[in-house]
Amino acid sequence: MRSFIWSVRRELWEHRWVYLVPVLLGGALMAVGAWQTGVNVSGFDAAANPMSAAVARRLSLGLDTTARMILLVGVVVAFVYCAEALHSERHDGSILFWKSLPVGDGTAIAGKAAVPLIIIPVLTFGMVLVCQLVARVTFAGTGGRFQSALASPGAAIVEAAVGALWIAPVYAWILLVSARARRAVLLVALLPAMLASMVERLATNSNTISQALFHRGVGRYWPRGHLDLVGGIDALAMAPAPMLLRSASLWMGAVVAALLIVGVVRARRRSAEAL
Amino acid sequence: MRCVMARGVRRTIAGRVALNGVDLEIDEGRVVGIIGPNGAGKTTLLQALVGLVPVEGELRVLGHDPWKDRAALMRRASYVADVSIMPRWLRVSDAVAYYDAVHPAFDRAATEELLERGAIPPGARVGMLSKGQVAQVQLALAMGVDARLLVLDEPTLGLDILYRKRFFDMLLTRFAEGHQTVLIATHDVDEIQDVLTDLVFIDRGRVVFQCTVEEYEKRFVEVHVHPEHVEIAREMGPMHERPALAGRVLIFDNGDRSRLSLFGDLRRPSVATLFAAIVNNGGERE
Repeated sequence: MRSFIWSVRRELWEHRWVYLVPVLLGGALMAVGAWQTGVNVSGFDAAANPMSAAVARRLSLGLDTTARMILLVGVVVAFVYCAEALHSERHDGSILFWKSLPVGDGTAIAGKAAVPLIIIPVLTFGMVLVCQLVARVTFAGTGGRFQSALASPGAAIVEAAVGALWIAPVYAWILLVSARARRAVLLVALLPAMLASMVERLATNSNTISQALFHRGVGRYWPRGHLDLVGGIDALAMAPAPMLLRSASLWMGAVVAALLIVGVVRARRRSAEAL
Repeated sequence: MRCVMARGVRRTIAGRVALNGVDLEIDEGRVVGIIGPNGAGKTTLLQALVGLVPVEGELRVLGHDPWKDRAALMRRASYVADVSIMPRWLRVSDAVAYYDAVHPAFDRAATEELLERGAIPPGARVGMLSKGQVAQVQLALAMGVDARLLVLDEPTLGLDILYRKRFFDMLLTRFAEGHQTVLIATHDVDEIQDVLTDLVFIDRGRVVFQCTVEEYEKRFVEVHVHPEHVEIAREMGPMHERPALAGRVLIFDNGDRSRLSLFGDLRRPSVATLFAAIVNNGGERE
């Protein structure tokens, strides 16, 4: 456990932007969202001029979008991190330094996988909780009620875990490519998906593959329109966390992620050979 | 107790044979120079010993199969390659903290004292330090580990002579106590000659010669022979000869020293000279 915790710390030393980018960019998004909502709610008063449910829904959407943008920033940062995680230590030869220590490849990979699966979700959902607080303060005394799928701390925590699990196979795939590719990891990771989408488009004039990949990658946190605030959800990616937890797709993805992670451990075991 | 046991160790990289049946036995407490030209297989052998690369054949280090048990082996072993493997973004103090956290046999105070003595700023990142300073950091970390085996692969590559001397002086001070085994691969053989207790010569992926330094000093002798006496000297069966100013230098293995001294002053051939002699003779098995 000690080695695992220090493996995570070592990742954060090397990739400081993993927490700096979400904090700075998320902080800026939150400031803009709070200011804009603050302007919009001014003039409403619970007693004299209460906010209607429709207006509350519209204004909630603004802050909900801010929260989702923060989560999206986190996901994109996690993708870039996964691409870097194993490639950088092979690229600069420092893998020989890390492997000269009594830390197994399994522990090292667990430390790397913890960044997109635990560290970034905890950080970004922590910011979402701050966003909720800002929303409640902003709506206080207006007669309106903040409405969002992420409106309670409990929902945000469950969502952090379910969301990370939903995207886990994509993270694991990029980690595997990072352990093997010589350069341009993200491009190499995307290539099979892009080719499959192109073939599908040319052959059947449909885009099921690209849609599925979009939903698996960023779909869950993609800012939503009014529709889903009133319950119009058509993709599994956007389903509420409890519903997603009961879906086979989530658990099949988790199994794929676990298998890919085993592949990543094996690849790292052999990665000193290519130096 | 045996520290390293290798039998028929082979490794092929992309069709090229890097290790071609290495047989090697090293007892604990020895300081062994692994000597060979570039591409001889020194680095591959040392990397195999610390479980960085898989090999065919039988290999045990401190009782472990290095490839299967790398993490367990590295609790009792240290590996230092050249300075370029230290991550440039790593702070010296973080490196010490990390070692302290993951290494059960790490003496943090000892490493910090060595770093202080070398005037290495703890807050500095590796990328900000000179090559010599990075080498000191690496050695200070390795020395903080109470390792039974220290593996050094060209640890002073690219360092100037003063740093190289300081490095080996530090090494000697720490490892002179005798319970650790040290394996050093370097091309500056003559520089570390005095530190070693054993010599292992590697050429084209094979161990071509292995002996103790004591044996080397006792067995081998070279003599500068005047051109007129070369034919007579040759009758005594030199293992190698090379041209020199005004005559030839002949090297003998177990030569009759009293007779040889008639040709001129006897000297001990340098390790590098002996290596060239043995490799040119097609190697010799002990």
